[in-house]
Amino acid sequence: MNRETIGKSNRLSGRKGLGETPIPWLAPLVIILLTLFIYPMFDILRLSFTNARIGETEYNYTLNSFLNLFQDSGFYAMLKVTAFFVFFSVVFQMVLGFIIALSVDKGESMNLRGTVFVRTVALISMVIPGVIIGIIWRMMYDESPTGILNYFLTLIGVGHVRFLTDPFIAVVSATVANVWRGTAQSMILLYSGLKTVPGETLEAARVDGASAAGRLFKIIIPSVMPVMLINLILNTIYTFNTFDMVMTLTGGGPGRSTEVLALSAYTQIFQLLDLGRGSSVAVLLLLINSIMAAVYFYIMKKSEV
Amino acid sequence: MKRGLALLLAVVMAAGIFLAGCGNKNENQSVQSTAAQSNAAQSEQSSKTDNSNANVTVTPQLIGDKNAKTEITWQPVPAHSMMDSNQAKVEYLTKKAKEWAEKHPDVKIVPIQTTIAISDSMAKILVQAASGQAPDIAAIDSYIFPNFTKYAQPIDDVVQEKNLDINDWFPFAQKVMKPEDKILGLWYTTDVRALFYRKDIVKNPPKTWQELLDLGKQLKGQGYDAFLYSAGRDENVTMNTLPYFFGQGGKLVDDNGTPVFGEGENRAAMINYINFLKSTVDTGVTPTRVLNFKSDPNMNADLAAGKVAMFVGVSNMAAQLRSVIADKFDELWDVAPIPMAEADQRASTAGGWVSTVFTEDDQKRKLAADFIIDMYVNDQGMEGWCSAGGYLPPRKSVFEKAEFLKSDPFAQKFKEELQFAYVRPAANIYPTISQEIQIAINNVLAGQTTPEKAVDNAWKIVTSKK
Repeated sequence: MNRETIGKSNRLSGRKGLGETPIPWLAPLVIILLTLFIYPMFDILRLSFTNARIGETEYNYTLNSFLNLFQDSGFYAMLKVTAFFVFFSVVFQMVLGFIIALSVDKGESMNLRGTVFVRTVALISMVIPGVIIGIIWRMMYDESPTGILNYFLTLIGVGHVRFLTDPFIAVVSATVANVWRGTAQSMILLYSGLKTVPGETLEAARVDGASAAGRLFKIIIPSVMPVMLINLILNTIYTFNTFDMVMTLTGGGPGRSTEVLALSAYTQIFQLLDLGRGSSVAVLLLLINSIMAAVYFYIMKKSEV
Repeated sequence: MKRGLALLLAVVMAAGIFLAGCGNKNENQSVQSTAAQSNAAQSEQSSKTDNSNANVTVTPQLIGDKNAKTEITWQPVPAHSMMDSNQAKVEYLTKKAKEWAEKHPDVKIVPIQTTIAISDSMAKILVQAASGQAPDIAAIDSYIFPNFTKYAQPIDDVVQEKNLDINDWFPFAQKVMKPEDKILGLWYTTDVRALFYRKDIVKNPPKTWQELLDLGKQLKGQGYDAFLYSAGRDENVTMNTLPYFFGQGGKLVDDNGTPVFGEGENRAAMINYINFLKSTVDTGVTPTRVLNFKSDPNMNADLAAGKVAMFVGVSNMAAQLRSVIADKFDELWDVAPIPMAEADQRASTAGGWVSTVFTEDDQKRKLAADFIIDMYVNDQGMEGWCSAGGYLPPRKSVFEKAEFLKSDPFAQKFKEELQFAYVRPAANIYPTISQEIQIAINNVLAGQTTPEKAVDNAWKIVTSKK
């Protein structure tokens, strides 16, 4: 009995051989997902309802980790800081990313030299680890007489700026550094979106006398809107999860003025050894990211239809 | 055909993953930094020069004969291991490790590489210790050591056998090493805080806060940054400023480890201390950019620029600055006690590292303690190690005998400060107290709140977590 006959026989009997089912292919993925993603996620969820401390084997299940979190006035201040950081980071990442993508796309259509160079330069920030970005911007914002930005600002008469020691300016400074970090991702996504805008439609609009602004707002932006929405959601998720850059840039200070949710989860667990409280912050972050992910899948599904 | 090819590929991939996993067991150090490879090559080379024992290997990944029957895992802090970039430290450790391995041919030490992020690595060892998976030996930051004592194994017998006396350690270290009736760790390197000042600018270093502010205003008028210290968000900030609190007799926690810093005289001392820091900024004696300084080396650029008159910093800054401004450091700088609220007060803080043994296997426990004592703790070990790394020894007799310290006037002054040094309290709540003190200092210096409100807010947060 050859393999073809066996396959035919299995099909007739309703049985499938192992090679004909997706199980061998999906099993490794399922195992990896279960052990490295799903189990730790549920463990964090479980720990968030405990008073567990790192190094202690005994703990009790309690709602206090969440109750204490919600009763802490510092928590709401942290939410405000996180909201400011995420909102302005994402808006400027997208606006700047779109401007660069549009410039590169236009440059290519005009056969200008240097478009590849611009794309490459813009991508540099994407390949630098967050910790290093924090250090680079810390040097830029240095408030000593040798500080780079302060030197130039003094030179043009603006004067000395307390980039990292004034609580409000510190949040703005951290946001600017994060905009620099995330613009490249927006640029790449939006550039790929721009490549799908039909050239004939743009040409027809031009022939009909549509202005540049009209073509931008009535043709280009509506055409790349699904990509923009996906970009918005991905950038929001990444920015909510940012803690490495903030840690090296400000450490959350001065005071708690730049302490974002992800940094707070890290501090609670690794510095204060408070696994219960840190896990509850992580669960909140997970909740926000899950909502964003659900919206992302909804848009993806809608754009497929 | 296609399906067959795909299945074949899947089998090859699975085999690859399996082999990679197996390989990892013995070759888990294949991924190394360039510096580490360089150090390894050098270390290996140094061990091969001795033909008397060809099986002994000394690399950052293995010390001893790879076939030795007894294996001891050792997790040093990266800066105290053969992975460090300081050649003097690597050479010292390689030499000592080789000597120890040759004396113990049946034992191999397997160093475990860890992250330079101290909080992360301490938390991970604590998790391992709680689940019985800790390395046989590990270096623990002294301030967090009290969290490990329930898992540490007593080593009194080995300490006695090696003729070491716990009374030889400075008092602050004794309490941590022997919290009750057993020695649970060996404090092998320490540091202390002091006032560093420019001899050519400051003729008489200030003894009190008022003297410092008065002198600082004069120096500010002459264009100097009169007084710097770290005031960002970092454990180093608590360490460098707590002497102002301890000097007034302030206590962070009581004997049971319960926070008391926000009550009665302790609250008053805490408010005074933060108020003093506020005065330094309000008067312009200290620039607000100190809020950016998380660790003392953050001040290096300012110090090298030559416009700083005084700063409070850790003793290691002497070695750091010698590497930045070379001979000018000894020519221009000196150290003095940290100025206090009153002239008759005196206090500093000491930190450092403690090595502890976790293995419950009696033979391995003794060998592990012996290894640590030989590398870092006995007379030759502590002198050699502290000399190579520029550290202060926590044993008084080593301080007196060590040649490299006799000729160093800074070291003798640091020794004096160690007599007045406090260590951070052995309480689980301490990391939270420390963080809230940093935030209180930050908020006050940034002009967000008053010292009274900042202390009361810190107290509220800490007591809510008791």
